[in-house]
Amino acid sequence: MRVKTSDILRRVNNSKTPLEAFEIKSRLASDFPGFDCTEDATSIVATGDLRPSPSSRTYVIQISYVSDGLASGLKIFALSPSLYELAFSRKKRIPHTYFDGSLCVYHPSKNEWNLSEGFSPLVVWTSRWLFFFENWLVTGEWLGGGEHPGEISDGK
Amino acid sequence: MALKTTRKVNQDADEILELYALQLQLPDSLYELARERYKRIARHLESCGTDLTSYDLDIFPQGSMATQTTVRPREREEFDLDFICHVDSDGHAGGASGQLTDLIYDSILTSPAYSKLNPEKCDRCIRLPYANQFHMDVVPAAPVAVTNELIKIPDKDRVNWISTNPRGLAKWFFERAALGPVVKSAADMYEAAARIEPLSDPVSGEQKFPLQRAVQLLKRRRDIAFEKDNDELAPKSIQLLVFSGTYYFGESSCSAALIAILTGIIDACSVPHVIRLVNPSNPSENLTRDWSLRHQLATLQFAEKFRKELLDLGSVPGLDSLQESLNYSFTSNERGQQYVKDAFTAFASRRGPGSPIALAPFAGAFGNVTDRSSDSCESKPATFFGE
Repeated sequence: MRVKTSDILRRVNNSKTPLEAFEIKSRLASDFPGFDCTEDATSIVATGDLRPSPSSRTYVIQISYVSDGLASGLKIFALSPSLYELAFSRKKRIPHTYFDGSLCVYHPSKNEWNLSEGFSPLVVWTSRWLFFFENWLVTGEWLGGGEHPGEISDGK
Repeated sequence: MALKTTRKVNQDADEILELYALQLQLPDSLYELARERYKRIARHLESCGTDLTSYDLDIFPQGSMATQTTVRPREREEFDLDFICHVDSDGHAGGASGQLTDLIYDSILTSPAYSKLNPEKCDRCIRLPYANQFHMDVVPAAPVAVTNELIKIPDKDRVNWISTNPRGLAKWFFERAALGPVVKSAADMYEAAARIEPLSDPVSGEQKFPLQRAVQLLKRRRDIAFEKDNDELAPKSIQLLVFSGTYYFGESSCSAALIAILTGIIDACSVPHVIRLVNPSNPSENLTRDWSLRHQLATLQFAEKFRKELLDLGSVPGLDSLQESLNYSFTSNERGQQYVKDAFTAFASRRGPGSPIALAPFAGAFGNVTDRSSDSCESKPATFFGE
């Protein structure tokens, strides 16, 4: 049985007021007009250009939320330019990324985001991530804070 | 007259330029140390027991120390700090300039502590080298009759004198600097006072007039541009200082100040004859008296190139590309590149977790984030995770 995206969202949100996909799209369109947002039965995908600061590059990023009834997941990718090509000279793994190359812009276990908040916070956090990524290219240090799996939070 | 211009690079590049200039200058701790040492030399010279003690002495900073536009040398750690030792002696003023230099040098050597430093008698000064800290250059000076501020200092030949007015020049410079955003009033910045001139309280390293930052960056770019060859064609620091003060019109960012200054230099030097650059504190002094058209052309080309580099900074894609551009303009070795890197570290650290500076992204290549998104999102921090 095909599951409607809105049903998934309703369950995920555990909210009395279901967040329709169109609400996610309209909020995003209001906050970031340059983003395109599409949906189908199992996913919502937003793609757009992002320039974290006046001296930063413009990146094409994609945020996708997919749910197939068994599992759901959020993925954020920088589609271009290639972060790995940019980081090639560093010869180090790019910090705060998952093994599939997607960006980790919030802590999954700290309830920092859920779908009811829409995609706009993710755009801002992705922007911060890209800013600190570019600075990491320069200094070799990740100055944006964060945690790695296995680290104990210092509560900051 | 140069056209006033308000062009500047973007906010990021401006901030990083200012943070880089902060890396270049004499640290506050060394400034305090220089202050202490200069007072000590002054006390020694006043009581050393040589003929010097029979004259009134007036000791004060000049040059980059006085205008607080110090720039660390490229190839070594020690800064060059200049002081005037004015000896109120008409007798010496009337004689060969080298005689006064010799008297001050011999007076310094009466102190075992200073002798251990192996002071060096140079053409125009006595150099006291404090290894890994700074060189203190003590410049002898004699009075010029019937003037308040004009003095004369030794020429290279150790016979003749050159008249100059370092106090007046610093005063003029701060009056020009005060056209920009006021950090402290111009009058507070420099005080022409007692016989032993107290160094002004240094503007905290981070607080400078845009004009001061512009001069620092201009001097550093000059050092790099003329490093490999044609060093003798390089514009002197006093020339850059006067050009800067002349063509500064109150721009609030150091990049805007630099672009305005460079535009002024380009306009001034784009003539088929050698220009006359008058010392504003000593109108009889022509600061370009030693120039040929080759010197002028070299300065013109330097200014044109540097201005283009600055304007291009506003459109480089990415902080790492900005780093490359700054390395090209301002560094020639690993130490210099480290100072650039340190500027970026400071820049990013100001925006780290808990920082009050919000990063407002540009969504779409040229669009701006709305207030709503900033408010709703920046108030909710998140923790980067992942490997």
